[in-house]
Amino acid sequence: MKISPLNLISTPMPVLSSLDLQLRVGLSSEDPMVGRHPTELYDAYLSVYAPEGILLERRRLGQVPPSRRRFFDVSEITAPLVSGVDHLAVAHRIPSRLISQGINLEDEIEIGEEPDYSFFRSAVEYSYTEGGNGSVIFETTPNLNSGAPGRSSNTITFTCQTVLSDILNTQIVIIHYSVNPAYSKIATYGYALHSQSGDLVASGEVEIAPFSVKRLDLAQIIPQDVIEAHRDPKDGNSSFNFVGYSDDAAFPVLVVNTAPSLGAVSVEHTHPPQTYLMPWNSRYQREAKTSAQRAWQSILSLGGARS
Amino acid sequence: MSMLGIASKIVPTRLKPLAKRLYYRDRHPMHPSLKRFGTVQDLYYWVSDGDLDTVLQLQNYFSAFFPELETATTGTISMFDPNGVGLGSKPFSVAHQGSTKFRVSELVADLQIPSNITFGTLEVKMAIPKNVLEHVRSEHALYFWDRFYIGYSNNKGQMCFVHGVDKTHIYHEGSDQSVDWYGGTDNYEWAPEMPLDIDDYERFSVIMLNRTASPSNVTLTVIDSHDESLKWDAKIPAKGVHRFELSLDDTHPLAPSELRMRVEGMPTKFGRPMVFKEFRNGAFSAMHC
Repeated sequence: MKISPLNLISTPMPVLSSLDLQLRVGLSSEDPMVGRHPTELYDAYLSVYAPEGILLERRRLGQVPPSRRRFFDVSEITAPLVSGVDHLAVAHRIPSRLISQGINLEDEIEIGEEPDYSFFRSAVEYSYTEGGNGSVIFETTPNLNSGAPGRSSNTITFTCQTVLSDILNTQIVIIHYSVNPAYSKIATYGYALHSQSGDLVASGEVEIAPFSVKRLDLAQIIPQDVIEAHRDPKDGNSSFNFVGYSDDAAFPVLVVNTAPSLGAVSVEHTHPPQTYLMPWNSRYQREAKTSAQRAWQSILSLGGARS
Repeated sequence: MSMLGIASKIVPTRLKPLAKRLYYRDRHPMHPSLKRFGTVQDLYYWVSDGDLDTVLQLQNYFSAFFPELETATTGTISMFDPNGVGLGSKPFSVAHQGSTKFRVSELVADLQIPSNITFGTLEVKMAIPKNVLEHVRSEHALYFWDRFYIGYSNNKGQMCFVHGVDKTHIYHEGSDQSVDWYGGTDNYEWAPEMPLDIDDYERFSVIMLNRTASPSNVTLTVIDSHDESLKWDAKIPAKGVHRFELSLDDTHPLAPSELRMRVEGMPTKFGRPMVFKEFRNGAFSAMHC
């Protein structure tokens, strides 16, 4: 098969400069599952995109020797390029034996059988200066938003990872990335937030340019009086159920919970919804996802979920 | 390695879908015990020690898939000690598009769990809503794998969440009896990708769950950039949990930056570790490796 070496192993990472969060990426030269690929030397690259999705720079970060881990400071590299605004950066790992063949990184190369680099993830670590860090580990899924014939890209997101208080806020961070550098779709992402009792408290839609990120600040989206009304008197936290959908694109979604006054941050990704479904026939996973998107679109266009 | 594992290595990639269809022609492709309808649940780590607490914000995920149906449902939280011994259970109900919240410290009090038990495992079982079951009846078989996000909090008011990673029990619709997902313990390795700068942390805990019905011997190795290493062993009881707790002192004399971890004897293929990171400024976070 033919593939760009940049797409062998990569992770799209939101740079959250507007939240004053520092970003490092941790890379490994080992197969986490042990045994599929022998450890080897990797070259690491970073693609930096402007907030509007334009590729600003692709830079070689360095090498990860066999049987090693390395951190790379992404914020240090991106700060002179984009200041104070959220944007996308992508970490790439390429076996150095491919680089030594003198390939052009942007060109597709023939690599024989499709390589199984699943679970070759990057550790994406956010921190406040002098504070703690929060990290999450994930990778670009194969063919993400490739736009190839016969491949549709869409999203359903749902999560309970929301917590708002005097010190805590939740940011839903939507990543719009593609393995196809010519990808140009501006995608719409709709969302709804429900209270624990199931009442719709907020909904909306955002447009997201390709190769960019969009941050939903729940403290800004949910009316303050609603947050107050749903405060748990025992811990002072308000929590809501988030659902998002798009029939335009597949979006990896991160949930970043911040407590800047404590110098504390945590982050987790959301699961693709199809992994919740174990049907006899795998076509049901696609059908259920598409059907749910349509149902959400229809319900929210009418002003809210049924109650 | 199983016959299936050997076959997956020798069958060309383009023929794998066909080979899989043939192999599973009369069985559910994800597990032979999946018959018609039901749920698959996992074990999660809980802690409630006066500093850290565990918070369950259980979202009715059926509503996300079927927003047009009435999906109110019920469920049960079951608590276990670190050895996998049952401590009690708590029923709950959850509204359509809703969620329900529990602090484990309150469950511990409610279930009169002895105060010396400060961590263990738990399972949440949410029933398929009646309308959803009717809606999917035309499928040959369908199981819902609940991969919810468990929350942890500290006494400074911070919270973090971690997703589920594996499977433990199958519940067939109409039965409260669980069926083990795994036949027995196995011996997998995992090489977490995260570099570990141990001096960033006051305490760094590596948490391993055993989702099988047999005890499992697990070894954690931490290796520095000079290939010097330290090892810790643990026997994890069936359906139990073990915490490897590390600090800068514990890893002396290893070089403290960009350490790497290796887990051997992992009882299930995807039962990879979770790490808890506690910082000197009082912040904390957690992640799956």
